Amino acid sequence: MQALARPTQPRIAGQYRRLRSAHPVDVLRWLRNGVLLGVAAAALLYLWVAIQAGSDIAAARRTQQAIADIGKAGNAVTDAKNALNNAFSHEDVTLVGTGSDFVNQITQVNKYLTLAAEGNAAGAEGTGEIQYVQNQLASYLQLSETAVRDYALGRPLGRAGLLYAVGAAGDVQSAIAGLSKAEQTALDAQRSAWTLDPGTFWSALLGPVIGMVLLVAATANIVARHFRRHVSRRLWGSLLMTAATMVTAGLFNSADARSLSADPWAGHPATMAFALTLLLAAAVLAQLAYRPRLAEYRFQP
Amino acid sequence: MRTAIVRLARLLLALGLGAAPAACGGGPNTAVTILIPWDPKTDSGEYNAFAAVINRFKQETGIEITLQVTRGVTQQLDADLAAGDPPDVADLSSPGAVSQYRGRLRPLQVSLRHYAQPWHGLAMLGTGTVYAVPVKADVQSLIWYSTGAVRSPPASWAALRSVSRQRGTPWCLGLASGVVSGWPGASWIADILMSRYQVGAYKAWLHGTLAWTSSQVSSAWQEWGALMRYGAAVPGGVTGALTTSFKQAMPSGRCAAEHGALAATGLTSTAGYSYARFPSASGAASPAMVSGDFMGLFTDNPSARRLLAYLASKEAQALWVGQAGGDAFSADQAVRLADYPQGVRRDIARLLAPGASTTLCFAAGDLMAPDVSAAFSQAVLEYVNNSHSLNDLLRSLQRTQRGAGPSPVWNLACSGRS
Repeated sequence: MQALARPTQPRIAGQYRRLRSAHPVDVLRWLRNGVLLGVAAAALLYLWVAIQAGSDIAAARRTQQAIADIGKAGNAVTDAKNALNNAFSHEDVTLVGTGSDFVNQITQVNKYLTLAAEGNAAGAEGTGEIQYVQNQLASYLQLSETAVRDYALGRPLGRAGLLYAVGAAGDVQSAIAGLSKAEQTALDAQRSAWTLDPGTFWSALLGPVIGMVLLVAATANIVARHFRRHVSRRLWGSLLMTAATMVTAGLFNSADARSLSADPWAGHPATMAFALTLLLAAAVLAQLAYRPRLAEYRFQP
Repeated sequence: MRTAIVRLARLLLALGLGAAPAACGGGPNTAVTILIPWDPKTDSGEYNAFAAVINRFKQETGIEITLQVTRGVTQQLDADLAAGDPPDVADLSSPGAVSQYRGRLRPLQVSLRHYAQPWHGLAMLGTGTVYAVPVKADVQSLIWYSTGAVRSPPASWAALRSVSRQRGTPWCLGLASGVVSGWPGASWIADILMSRYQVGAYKAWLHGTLAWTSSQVSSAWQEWGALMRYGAAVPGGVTGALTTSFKQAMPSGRCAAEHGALAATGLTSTAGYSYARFPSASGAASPAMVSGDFMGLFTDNPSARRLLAYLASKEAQALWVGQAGGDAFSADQAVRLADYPQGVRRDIARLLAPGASTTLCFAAGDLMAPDVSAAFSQAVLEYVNNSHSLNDLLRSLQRTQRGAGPSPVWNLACSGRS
């Protein structure tokens, strides 16, 4: 490592000497380029965060919907269990079988499981859990139908069959809880994506602004020391506009991430158009702010 | 030249950093997932005993183990296999399941030479390849009884019948067990058949050459029905037998005797209880019916191979049987009787010890084709509900047997040559 580092040290020292001995106008030109680069970086980072966050929010919303569907499937199993109990208590199951209400609820369970499968974010684990729920559901159906058949053979056997079916309904509920847990873990992972994590996306959005603050401070220092003037208000305006745009974008993204908004503010076309216009204006202001000093010494080599 | 060397060094460094995680991913200390049926809430004894064995492995190797608990191991396994994401290791509670997953199981390089028959042969499915490790064994041909309520140990058929004649409800019978409800009765009937007609008839029955409608099989059913006084000898009568869980019958305290393995009685302590070997009705020494759990490998994870080799070792087996809960036995004859806790478990373990003369036969329900086994359990429920339906039930079972075929491992069912 030392062998690799050794040649770079004289190079850095040389660059520092060159900077110290550079003409202030050259330094101002570099600072202007830096500020313009900062505004461009702010625009690009804003676009990246907004578009990527929109995609991450959409994925998380699908998972959230899948979890809601899994919950509905669990409720439908409870309703199916109650419907079967009702059929055994109030109706002649030898004639009506498990009953239309039970059949409807099982159809609902299957429907919600299919919907949940579309939003599965837990990968192979989620697929396995869904299939396990379906297997348990098939066992529950089989035991329910056996209970009905057994009821015709005698009340004790029918009652026992109902008890086994109720136990199997509990197994379906446990399997559904396992599936829900797997999807919730996947959702938690999605919500901690960098575009939705405040610590990360704020750093990305405010990084260029902090860079610009340093460049503007350096500009103010050079203008004051070498030109005996105050830095242009346009430059402060440029910094303020960039900072305001990025802070607003951050606040929007924060709210979008918190609520997993269906229509994210940060990525909304109107927000994007307005923000990019402001950043373009900030770039123009920065250019105009540096122009008088650079024009004054435009024949300097 | 110098720049080229620096670039090359950087490239090698980058490649090395990139390759390191890939190399670690398939390394010898990869975490292992195991699918087990022992729920820490409902089967805490069995779960804790297994966890103690696993913890020793974790301490010795540093390999992380993740236990996935499910009551439906084969259903979960089917789902995981279909999703292409099976656990590394799964507990298979019957040789029928080992046979069913034969094409998916990775052959194991472990030595089972100290393991007793029939576990040894069943783990290899009659081939020279080890498909699963028989990690846990059990003895089912036992009659457990309350020493305060049963006057003489039911060690003979006369004593067994005298238990049935006791006033009240002497027999503990719980048939409820989810999708496999009825199996405790199936275990009774298989034991009676073996007790009366010995190993030859038992194997012929598994093979399908002894019909369900034969007088031997029919008489075994009738004998069981008579012992249970057609439900009258069981707490709650027919409804009680059908709706009580198999692990709740004896601990309820409303009955005095139960057939089956210690782990299936649901007793947390054997104080006040004793046991007798299931008696022979034929005059010849009665074979004993046994069961067990097998663990098979479903991935190429080298850590999982190490784990299975450890579970097959004498050290792990001795540790497992030495746990207070779980009521486990070992088919590994290298495990000494002294490794078992003192008392009834050490006494029962003598049946599995080297030199024991008792012929051991695996439980019929665990060896039959899945459809036949399910029909057998269901027929038990229907017989308890209505004992007059026996002939119809046996004819149905015979039809099912004809369709499903013989047990895939009927010839490996028993130890010895008989």
